[in-house]
Amino acid sequence: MSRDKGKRYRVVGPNRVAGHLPGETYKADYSAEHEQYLITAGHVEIVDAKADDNNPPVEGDNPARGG
Amino acid sequence: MSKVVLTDASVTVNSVDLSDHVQQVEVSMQKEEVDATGMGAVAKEILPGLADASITVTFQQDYAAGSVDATLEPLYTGNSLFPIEVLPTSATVSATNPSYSGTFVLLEYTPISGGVGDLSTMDVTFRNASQAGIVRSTA
Repeated sequence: MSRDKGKRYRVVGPNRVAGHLPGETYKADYSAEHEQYLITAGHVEIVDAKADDNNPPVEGDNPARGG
Repeated sequence: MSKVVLTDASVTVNSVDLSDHVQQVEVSMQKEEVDATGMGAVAKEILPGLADASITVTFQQDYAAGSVDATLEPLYTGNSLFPIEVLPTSATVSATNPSYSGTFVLLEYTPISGGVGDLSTMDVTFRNASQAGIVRSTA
């Protein structure tokens, strides 16, 4: 996935999301509907854009299964 | 290739991995039987018709934020079309760990099910919602 697209999310629920463990952050280009669903259901939160620029993905991120 | 005992199947619903609450999973692909037998035939001539697909999962219910109910109920209520991916194991997709995936819809949801003293489980059937049906992938 291009680094220009999408937002960075942190998994806050108890389950993996898009292949990422709870606590990990990842980048994805979700539709507004899908993003709202994931946030409302308690799966992810949006990470501040600054964090995206300054912090590399958390150890264990697996972009190959992202989505 | 060895025979398979399922102990670590991976079930991802709308990007959310619910595998640790899955008791049973079944990926099913079917085609309608179309009888094309004509007069004078001595045997039936059956042709494949429209394809269909479904994925049936027995979930162990959990009402915690970000768990089973929080994942499934909005999909039912919102009439959403969403992706599901099922793999024999949680390892990376490969020739020996194929991915079966597609776009589905949830037309029936039973959020509370069970008798006294039982583990609350529910059978959920996801119905095919795309022309592509279920796609098998090995990479």
